[in-house]
Amino acid sequence: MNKYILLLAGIFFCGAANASVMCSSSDYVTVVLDPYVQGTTYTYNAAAMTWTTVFPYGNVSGVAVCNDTGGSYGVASNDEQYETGGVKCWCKMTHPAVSRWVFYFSRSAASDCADGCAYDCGYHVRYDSDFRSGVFGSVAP
Amino acid sequence: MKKTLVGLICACSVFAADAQTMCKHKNTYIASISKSTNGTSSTVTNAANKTWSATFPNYTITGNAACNEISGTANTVNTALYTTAGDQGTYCWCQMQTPLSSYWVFLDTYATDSACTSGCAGACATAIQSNATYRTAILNSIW
Repeated sequence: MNKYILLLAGIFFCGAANASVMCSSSDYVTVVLDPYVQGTTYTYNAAAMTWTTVFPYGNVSGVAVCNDTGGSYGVASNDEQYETGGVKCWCKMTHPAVSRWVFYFSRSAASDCADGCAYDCGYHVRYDSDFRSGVFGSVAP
Repeated sequence: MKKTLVGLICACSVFAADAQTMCKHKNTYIASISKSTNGTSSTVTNAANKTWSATFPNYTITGNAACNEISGTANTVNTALYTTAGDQGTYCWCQMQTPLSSYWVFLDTYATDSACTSGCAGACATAIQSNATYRTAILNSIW
């Protein structure tokens, strides 16, 4: 996979050693969000319902909401999701591109969702390529 | 591995000298934007919400505008404005939303709040379309 990324970066003429996926050449800014690249760390703010996952190429950040709309793990919804205080946790990337809302899981209580949803989003974007596929794959080209 | 790369290249077709494009190959999202290439048109898509778009040969850039009381200098980035940019003031800020989301970048100062409210989104669209220096500042603020 590293070879694949480096080859791709080379084609985009992005030679910086740490620019394996996000490249800024003299003229082109190129971003490649590859779900097979795992994050290194993550942070979250439960009160603000925000999360950030650090990748080798930069930070990916987003928001979380809890409502009562169900879904399947790692699958993006075509609908906008809103915070209503429910038990269903949804994640959305807002930076460096905007994804659709991706379903994570149903918590047992609304308070658990409120406390843990932002954490869950950052954690699974870091660790789970299937979940990342749902997030990165739902950005509208 | 080579097959995957070839497939990605074929699927995305971003490698012509003047190409700028966004694409997805399976679940990998790729966006490549030229700083120097001007757009062909621009417009305010929603005046009340201060949203705008600029059309380029191979894609469209959309974004938001905001007027607030946070001053800046030309082309400077304000990362603190990332989630809340404010909605009243004489200082005009622009943010790219798609195909990549940028931080807010200062554009201009207006004489009055109302002048900023009515002019900022259009000014953002025009700057992204035609001002390579400003477009570069936006693109360099993605990370």
